[in-house]
Amino acid sequence: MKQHLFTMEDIPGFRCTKALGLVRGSSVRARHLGRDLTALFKNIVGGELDEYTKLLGEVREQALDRLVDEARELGADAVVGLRFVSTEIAKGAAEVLVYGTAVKLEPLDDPTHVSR
Amino acid sequence: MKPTQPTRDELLAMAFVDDQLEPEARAAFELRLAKELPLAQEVAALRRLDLFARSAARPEPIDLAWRAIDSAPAQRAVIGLGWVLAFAGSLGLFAIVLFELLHAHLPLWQKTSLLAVFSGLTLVFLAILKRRIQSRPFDPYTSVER
Repeated sequence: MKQHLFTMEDIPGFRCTKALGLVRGSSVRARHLGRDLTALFKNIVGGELDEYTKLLGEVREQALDRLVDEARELGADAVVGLRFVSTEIAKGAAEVLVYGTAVKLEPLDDPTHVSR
Repeated sequence: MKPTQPTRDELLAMAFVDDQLEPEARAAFELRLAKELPLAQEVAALRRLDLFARSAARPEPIDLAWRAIDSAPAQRAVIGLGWVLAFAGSLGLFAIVLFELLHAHLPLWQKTSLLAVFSGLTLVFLAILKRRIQSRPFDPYTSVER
């Protein structure tokens, strides 16, 4: 089953029946020198550095997939309290760490109720 | 043209990417993935599709403008020529440095050491480049646009 990802802790319509623990995924990626040079020239003239927009997208999706893999290993229905952290390890490389809590969920009889 | 039916392995790969396999079947499939490169390539291709569906964004006006500018023959020619000149110049500089090193008035041990550093770094770079080229088909994240 695909895991659902939430930034909130309480999911309307569901009750959290079990917290399975911390799950996380991280990735560090870089573009190649040609793209870095192109980005350098774009940096001089301004505008979006789409080379790095793409880099950030790649690293974000890979980190998310790794988090989902960990959640699946634990048998989680969802990950709540999802957070992204970004830092710079090397010049031209992007690192994204994504973490959250893997939980088991159960639908509530009254879907207007918010889980606690 | 009659559509071809997916093979059993293709169906298994789809179920694996969609997280629809039972734990035992998943573990068995993961064992096969480690040994069978074509299967790993199939999974990477399906993940690429999944990623595309997940991250595909509606083109923004600037995307269309960039595409039009980048595909114009004059722009392609100028950028292509620029890269060819820069690459050829870098190779020339590399050759000059090597030539100067070999003809420099240095003791033999210094020349040998410098040459060893140059050759060693070149070999390491080539090995890393080969690794990247060979593993690229297994990296679905290169298809993410933003």
